[in-house]
Amino acid sequence: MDVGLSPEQLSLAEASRQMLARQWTTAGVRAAALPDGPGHSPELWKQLADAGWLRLPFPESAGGDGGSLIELGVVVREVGRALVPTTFASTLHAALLLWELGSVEQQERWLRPILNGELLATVAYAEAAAVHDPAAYQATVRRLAVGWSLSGRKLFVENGSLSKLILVACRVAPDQVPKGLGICAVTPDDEGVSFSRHATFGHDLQDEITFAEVASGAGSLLGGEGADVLRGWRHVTEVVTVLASLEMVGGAQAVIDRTAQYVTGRHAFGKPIGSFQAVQHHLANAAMAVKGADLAAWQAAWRLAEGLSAAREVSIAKASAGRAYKEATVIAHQLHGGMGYIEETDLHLWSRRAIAADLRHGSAAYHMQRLAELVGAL
Amino acid sequence: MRFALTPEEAAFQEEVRSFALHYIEAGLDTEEEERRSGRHAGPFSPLELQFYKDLGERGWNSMHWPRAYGGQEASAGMSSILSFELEYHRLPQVEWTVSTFAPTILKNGTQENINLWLERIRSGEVVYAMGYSEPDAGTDLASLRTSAVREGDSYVINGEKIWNSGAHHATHEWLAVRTDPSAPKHRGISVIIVPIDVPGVEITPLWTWGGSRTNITRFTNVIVPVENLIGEENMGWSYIVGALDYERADIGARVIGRLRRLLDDLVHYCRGAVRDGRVLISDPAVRRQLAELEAKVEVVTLLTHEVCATVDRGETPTVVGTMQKVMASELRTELTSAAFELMDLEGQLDGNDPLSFMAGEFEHEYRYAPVQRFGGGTNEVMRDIIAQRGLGLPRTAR
Ligand SMILES: Cc1cc2nc3c(=O)[nH]c(=O)nc-3n(C[C@H](O)[C@H](O)[C@H](O)COP(=O)(O)OP(=O)(O)OC[C@H]3O[C@@H](n4cnc5c(N)ncnc54)[C@H](O)[C@@H]3O)c2cc1C
Repeated sequence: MDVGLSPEQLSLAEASRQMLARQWTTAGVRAAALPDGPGHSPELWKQLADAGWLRLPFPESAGGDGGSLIELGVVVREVGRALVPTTFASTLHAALLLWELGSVEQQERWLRPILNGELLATVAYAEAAAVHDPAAYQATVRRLAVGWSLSGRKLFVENGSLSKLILVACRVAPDQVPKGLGICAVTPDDEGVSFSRHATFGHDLQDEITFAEVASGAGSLLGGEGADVLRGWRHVTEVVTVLASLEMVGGAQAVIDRTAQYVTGRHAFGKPIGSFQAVQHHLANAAMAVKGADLAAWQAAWRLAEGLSAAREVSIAKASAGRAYKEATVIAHQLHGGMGYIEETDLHLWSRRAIAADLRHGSAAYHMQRLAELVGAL
Repeated sequence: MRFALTPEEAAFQEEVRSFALHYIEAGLDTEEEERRSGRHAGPFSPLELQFYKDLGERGWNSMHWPRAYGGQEASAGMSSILSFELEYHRLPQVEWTVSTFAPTILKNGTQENINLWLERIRSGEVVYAMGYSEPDAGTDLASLRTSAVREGDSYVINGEKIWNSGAHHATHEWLAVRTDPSAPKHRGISVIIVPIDVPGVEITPLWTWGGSRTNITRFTNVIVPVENLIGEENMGWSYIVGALDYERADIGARVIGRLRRLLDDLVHYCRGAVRDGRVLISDPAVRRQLAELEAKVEVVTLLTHEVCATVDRGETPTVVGTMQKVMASELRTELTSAAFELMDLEGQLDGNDPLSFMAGEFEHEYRYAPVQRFGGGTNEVMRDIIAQRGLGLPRTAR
């Protein structure tokens, strides 16, 4: 058994970390944050695209670099540490869906420009009364003489109004084929698409989108004849859930690192507060939680990269990461005292992201419930 | 033993509830929410002013004071009912000058102190900001350095206070200063009242993650008359620590008012919300989570009752008050964090989003909670107190 990254992967991590440390400081994070910022940084985007981060896991035939999910995970963990805007995650989600379910033409049309850094994309799935179960989605596509017509309302679409391609998870009208889940590609400029911005705890860009009989072309539905769309959707959901876990592990580690530094410098009772046992125990607890979550995330990533079943491992990874990230920020606030509580200090940038990230792709509570069902089914 | 309100307490609770409902109908809870969330920080509105005046006329802002000074000598149990209900209904609270500092003056002040300040506090003419913490004196408060030097009939004050929360709308500082630099650190501290509007006081805002404003306040050669000294010179530390014990009953009751309300709202949410084809409350895992919170809120509520009962026996609730403080402050984070998870993606909406539940009360509470864990005595030191004062374990060397 080998649970560690290879030397090449470790140096990829180091190089990515250094690049972000130069290019993406917390001043950038604040400037991009909503409500006043755009939720995105074109300059940073160009750097990431030039460094090939978006291409990492895709085969060369599709315009990728032929790496694996592990290499992608390595950079995503650094993305989490540095609080890179969520456009990276939302665009990757769309890219992974296109790779999994898109036809060759669809991949040429949309995946290639994404990998070249020319197209921001996202996936719309959550609705007012449905988040995780595709069978509960109400948004519907219907066949027209040519192409499709999409109607429905989606919530919490990450970077919806920034993206030039929106992949909408919906149901295909009952009397039509293919049956069940459909994934329909639309653009924000299509007639009948309207946006309303959410105000979120994470200060990231998420939109409510209404689709009112939006007509899209013949080639806009993902998944050719006989494709198992639901299965592909579920697989990609597992992949992005693991990536979200790694992103959270990176963020949590950043919080621990900066807190360790703070308690070493801050003095009370004539000593560094980091010399008090209670303070050390808090940080040790956070460090254990993050270490466990890190291993759980890599295990899940590895199983997916190897094409093995991973439902159990994915839920363990996401639940562990969600708890660890939140715990790390709560402890960090405690150990920073007043200094961590003012707007000027940066700690809350991570505290906000921790909550948002826990809720993306299923909270710790959701994944424990999924795990409970798996345990019960054994 | 009686785990129930007395008839007198129950009648008072009813009275406070109808008072609260009256102000809710007038929209005061919405105004208060705007204020707490930091979206509004202006002067008091006519409705707010009327509310405070009404409190004063009913004698509710000084219930626990002796009759000789205009109070009602109410028990801690009675005043906690007021605090609980106001908080539960999201209304403004009795000012801490009345609940924390006035009792300290009554207990430790000179007759002159009482004559000078008490009636002005009761009428709302005088409001203190709590000037304890300094940049290098937080948990280790006794190392504070702001100095007061006696010159004739005056003190001359120099130094810097941080986290001086009320300074921008208070009339005076309740200021902890060093009056004897040569004494051991706990024995050279005094409390002196400093008017905010005298020359040499400079207030700079600090905005917090919780949305509220606090301040840095600098004192440069500020001159105040010696009569502004509270009690005896160099006895300030015992007054400061003593005031913390007074707070516990009142603040404890507020906190459980808040927790109870949040949990009731969360249950209400789970009864109405549908996700993935199911009403949340119909899911046993959801009910189990709510049950965990129910049990914890109940236990903290019982601790608060014990704090009040201890005060009403004339004892100091140091250990049980400390237990209540630690458990309640940590439960605020736990409850709101659980609420986010139960609400799933909706949990991340903030109060500015029209779709947010109860104007984002859970997210706001989550941001407000950290200061509860390290303010009013950090929970690390509080746990030391429980172990050492409560269980008699050896003192930590510091
Ligand atoms: C919004 C806000 C409002 C406030 N309002 C007021 C106010 O009105 N008036 C006022 O005077 N103060 C106020 N405070 C200050 C508050 O009381 C202090 O923040 C608190 O005392 C902690 O001090 P500190 O922030 O300096 O943290 P530090 O003392 O630096 O403590 C940091 C961490 O170290 C730990 N630590 C320190 N010493 C030990 C030890 N010996 N053993 C174990 N752990 C230890 C602490 O528990 C904490 O976790 C306010 C603070 C905030 C943020």
